[in-house]
Amino acid sequence: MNEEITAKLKEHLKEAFIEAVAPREGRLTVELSKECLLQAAEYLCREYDARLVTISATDLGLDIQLLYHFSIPKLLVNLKTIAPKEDLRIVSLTPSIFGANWIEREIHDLFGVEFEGHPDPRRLILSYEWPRDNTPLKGLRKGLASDFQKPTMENLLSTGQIFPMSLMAKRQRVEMKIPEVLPTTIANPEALDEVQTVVKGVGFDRRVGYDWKTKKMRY
Amino acid sequence: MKQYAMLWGCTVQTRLPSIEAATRRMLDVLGFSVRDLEGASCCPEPYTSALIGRELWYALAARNISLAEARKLELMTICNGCYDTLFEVNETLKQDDSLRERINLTLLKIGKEFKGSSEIRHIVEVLDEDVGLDRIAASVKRPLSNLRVALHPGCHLYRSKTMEDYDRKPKILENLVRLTGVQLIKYGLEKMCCGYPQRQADEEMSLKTTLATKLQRIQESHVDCLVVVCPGCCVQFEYGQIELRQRYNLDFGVPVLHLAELMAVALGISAAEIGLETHRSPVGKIIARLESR
Repeated sequence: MNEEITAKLKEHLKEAFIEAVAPREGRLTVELSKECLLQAAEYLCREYDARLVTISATDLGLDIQLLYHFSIPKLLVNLKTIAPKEDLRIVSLTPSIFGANWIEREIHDLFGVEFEGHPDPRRLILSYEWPRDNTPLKGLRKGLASDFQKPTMENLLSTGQIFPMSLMAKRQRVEMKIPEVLPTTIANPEALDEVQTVVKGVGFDRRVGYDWKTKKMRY
Repeated sequence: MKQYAMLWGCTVQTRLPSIEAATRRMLDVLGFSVRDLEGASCCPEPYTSALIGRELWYALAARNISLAEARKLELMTICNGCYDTLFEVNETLKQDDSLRERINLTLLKIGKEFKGSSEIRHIVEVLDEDVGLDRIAASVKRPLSNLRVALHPGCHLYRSKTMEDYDRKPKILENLVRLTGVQLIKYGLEKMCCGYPQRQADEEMSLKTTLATKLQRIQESHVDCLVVVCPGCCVQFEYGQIELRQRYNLDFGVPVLHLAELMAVALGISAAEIGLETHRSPVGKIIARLESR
């Protein structure tokens, strides 16, 4: 059943499907992007008569990880997705799966996740006097790299080298009659592309919270 | 004869090009050719990526090694940090089949494969075993006998396959330095770290406790300069002295040279040709003495 569900979700979700892991018999975790969460959940309910057991949230430092646990006879399927702390909005399952109602309200109270489309987004477990911007289980946005390590990581991921090639260094190199730039990733876009493919392949960019658009850490 | 590809490393190419210029000129004079490792990335350095993401550290180092393997070349470096990374990854992947398979699955996506067919060599080993001390001795045109030199081998030069082998490369380094004719002065803290990696955790400790202690002893030994064989150590000794002076009013004024630069001068290459004046430590004050013979 694991292989069948994995294959069908992969086909159904296309690029939103990230990966599937079956840690042991009767368990399947499918990681997907948050934009396709509703689509995947409705698919499981429609095709496999799945029942939402609960939703669990974890603060990963830079993101809130959400695990949607679905029960199918002899199998527990976890839909895993990430809500970055910069944008904690995610679609609410409540209009489709009413059992998500109180769980989403609880996660909103404790982690600040905004469940878009929730029909009754009142507080559930925090008192009404509790400050709006205080979400007790959500910590500060922080990643693995210390401030001292960030420039090293940013240079490595954006150029393949840990120090930038300055104009002064280039001028000195020319004056010393050595190649202005070595045939490394700095001068070879294909080699840099290989390095960045490796970075993505081992999940290092996600692990340290690197933003490929700004070429900076997210913190 | 073995053919070598050189991984110059990030520090040399971007911050200390005089080391690269000296190495290239020195190897030319010795009639020994190396090829630049085309498409190389950072080794990657062992203090950040190895600590935060060991899988990336293995994979990028394995990619660099695979570039040399594909060209049937041995991989050579002039940096202790690069040597440490490449040596450890090479040996680990050769011995750990499951890790090698996992890393090769990652490399497969970019059409590369780590085979484990290449050896990683530090330049001191290459100079000793492939070039030969006799050939170097015969090529010395300017013995630097008026120079008192302290030596800092650097922690990663002690990296070896066996316990018995741990000080082979530091001893080779001493022999190479002696070939230049200098007076090698022992100061008792040769094996102490320069403090470069400690900057990750505690900059003040790195500078005041480690670097300043070492520089104090070197200064008391009345040497003309300190010779290192690692660009990372060179950066720590040079920029560290500037920081010690600016932040803690500690002034040591110790000139710092890389082994390749000392050897290049001894082989008759001029200091100007290899850009010795670009150093951030007071190398200028010994240039005249270096070229006085």
